[in-house]
Amino acid sequence: MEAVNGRFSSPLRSRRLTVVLGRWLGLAFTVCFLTGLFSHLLQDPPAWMFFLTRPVWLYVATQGIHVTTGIASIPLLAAKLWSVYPELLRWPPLKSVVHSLERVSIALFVASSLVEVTIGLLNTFQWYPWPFSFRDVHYWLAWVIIGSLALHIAVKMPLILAHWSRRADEAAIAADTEGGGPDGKTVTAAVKPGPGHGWSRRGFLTAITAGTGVVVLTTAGQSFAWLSGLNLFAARRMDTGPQAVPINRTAAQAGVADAALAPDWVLTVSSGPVQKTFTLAQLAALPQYSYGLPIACVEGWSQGAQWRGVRIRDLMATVGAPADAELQISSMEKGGVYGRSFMPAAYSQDEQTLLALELNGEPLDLDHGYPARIIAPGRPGVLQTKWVHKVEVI
Amino acid sequence: MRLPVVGPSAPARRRTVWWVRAALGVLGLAALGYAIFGFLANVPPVQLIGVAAWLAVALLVHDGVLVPLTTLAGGGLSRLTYGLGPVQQGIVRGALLVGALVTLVAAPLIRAQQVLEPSGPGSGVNGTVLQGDYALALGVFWVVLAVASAAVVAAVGLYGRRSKVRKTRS
Repeated sequence: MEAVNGRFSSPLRSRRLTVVLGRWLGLAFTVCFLTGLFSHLLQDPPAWMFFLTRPVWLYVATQGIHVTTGIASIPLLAAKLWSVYPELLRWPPLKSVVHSLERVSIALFVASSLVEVTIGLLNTFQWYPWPFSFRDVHYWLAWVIIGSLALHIAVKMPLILAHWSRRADEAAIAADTEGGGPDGKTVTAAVKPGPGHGWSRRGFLTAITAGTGVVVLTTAGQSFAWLSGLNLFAARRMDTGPQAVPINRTAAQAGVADAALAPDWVLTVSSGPVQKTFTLAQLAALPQYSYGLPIACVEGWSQGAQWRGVRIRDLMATVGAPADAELQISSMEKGGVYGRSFMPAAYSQDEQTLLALELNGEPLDLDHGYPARIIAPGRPGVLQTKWVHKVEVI
Repeated sequence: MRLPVVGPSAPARRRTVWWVRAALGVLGLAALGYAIFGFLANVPPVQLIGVAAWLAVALLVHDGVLVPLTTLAGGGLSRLTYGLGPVQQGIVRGALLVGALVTLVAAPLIRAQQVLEPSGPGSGVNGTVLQGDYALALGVFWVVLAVASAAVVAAVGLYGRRSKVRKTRS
């Protein structure tokens, strides 16, 4: 086994390299976890949740960072795992009960990380070749990963500290070599790479940084307009689709075309026993407001657009709804996460939260939610319900 | 005379490290416990089997196929670039590594386009996902990368030869 291990040895691998890569990957995973948790809390808010409606691009930023950091973690994860690959082939594989537990926890950590970044990437393509719910598994694997990360840092902390800075690294290696430590030889070789390959730790890290940089710059344009010119390898492009706005779910996919185009469509607004209906013409006769608001999807893409329509708080006033009321918005699409959404008062009372009838100066395209859809500042796109037919106080 | 190092003493530092490790360990185990509870409470057993299968296959493919392949490629590369100087070898390696990383992220796009091909009119297919020509973009990227690194390798070779000539003359 040691002979097999020897074949995979590279003078490049060292604890210092692993620590440097581990720092970046740990940071990326933590950012992904926090931004993902924020998105999850916005969609399934607990009672204590507070909602921010400004800046209007809040969710554009958090979810764009979530997806972009997730993509960046793919090369970082590959490099970090490569740097510790010989650990996998160490002989004997299990030395003690504690050692066995550590190896099991690392196997879980590695497998979860690989699956998490893979399904996260494929989700941005709307490609689901797995036999489980993306939403649940991506969320719970995130907890496995953040827990494993904390545990891993706790276990490895003496090593991490010993190689944290270049000076500490050199001191640790000197001590190892003097003491004739078991790893003394390989580690020393790592510090002074053999002249054959011209391939130093710095060269390797430069290549990993460059690869990560290219991957970020050529995908982040789906989330951030100032990078859209470099968007080569993202699933989404800005300014595409009807009315120059991309779509998450088409009318055909939602099966709402007939109902949405029906001439007898009315919007029902209700608060307790008070109920009113509005035709499209009646809605258009109410005071109209126009705001530039981004739509930002959980899949990471976003798009700025000009929306025009009726303020939700004006609609609520027509049925005498209390200002602190939470609303339930129903779509003509039946069932699932798109069928209805809940709107806390923080959004319904905001002057920029609209029941939009127009997008970029034209009536809403059928695929954008004709005849009427919700657009609120700083909310995930999945909650910007399309093809609305009912707004109720609950 | 050496001045004493300002900062926490060694035992104090050890104590801090111990507490940080203990706290991280406890928090990590708590998060893992919460995750296991979450999986069992929210994901049906049939799907859990699917998750377990994906985790196992991910480990096997990564550790059993991908990493050994990089080792093989690295060994082959050493032989192919034997005639080059150390700096030039480093440039070739770096360029190939960058290309491989970008391919790792871009190749699934091309596969997804093939798999999610529209199935006729009225299928409700979303025309705003996966609309780029990713194969072309990846090809162009590799060409640019190859040309740029070849130019740098040649420039380094030329510079190296000139400076060698100058050295022998002086």
